[in-house]
Amino acid sequence: MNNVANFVDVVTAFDIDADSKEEAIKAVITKLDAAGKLLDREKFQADVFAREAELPTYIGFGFGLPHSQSDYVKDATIGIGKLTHPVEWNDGKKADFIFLIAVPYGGKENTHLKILANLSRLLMHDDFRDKLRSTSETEVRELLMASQNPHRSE
Amino acid sequence: MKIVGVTSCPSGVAHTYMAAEALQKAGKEKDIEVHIETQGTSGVDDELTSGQISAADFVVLSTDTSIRGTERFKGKKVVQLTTTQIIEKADALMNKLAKMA
Repeated sequence: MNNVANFVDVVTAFDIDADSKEEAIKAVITKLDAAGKLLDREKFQADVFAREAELPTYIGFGFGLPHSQSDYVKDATIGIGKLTHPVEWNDGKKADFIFLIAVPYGGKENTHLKILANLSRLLMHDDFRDKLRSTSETEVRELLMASQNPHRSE
Repeated sequence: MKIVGVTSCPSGVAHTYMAAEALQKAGKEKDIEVHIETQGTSGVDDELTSGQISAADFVVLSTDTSIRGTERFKGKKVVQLTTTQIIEKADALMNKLAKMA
């Protein structure tokens, strides 16, 4: 019931060869746009970078979690980016895995926010991160579907 | 030892919950009773009860955005950290608080 991916689309961008955080985030946004999840790619990108500038989203363990609730998102989507080599995220910290969380504003978004909250909780667990890193691009959505919220399921 | 806390962040979508989970996970591993209220965009979850608050040895509050209802913690020992610090150092924080308790 609390499955992460039930109400959120998942778009993957594996093997990103980027030299900067900006380049890596753009590569994930390109995939989101290609999948039809955005209303305005440039404006969404500006929203993400504005949020990133306000408070960088490095969360530890090599993960960057840029996110934005933006007018320019069509469907709530998690963009998963896997980099071929780590890039500096902020303050010398390096990330090689990106979860870009794109959420539209609007009425029934509560469900989406709950699921994104669940994903955030999941990322705090080593076993989930290990599985993520070893899962292929085609199977990563399934992994998210199968992962229950660790806190709520208690 | 018992700990309560409230987490919140500017977008209220991710760090609020990561910080809460980090504290709960660290507490579980160390056999410390931890209750964390999240104040996110989707609302307040796991709102702390007055019983939980009065029984707590420490209160952990995130500082990214202002926490609602801090008057509930008047007279308690309060530790304030950013959600990023909580996420990265929840284990060390628990160890430190356990020594101070």
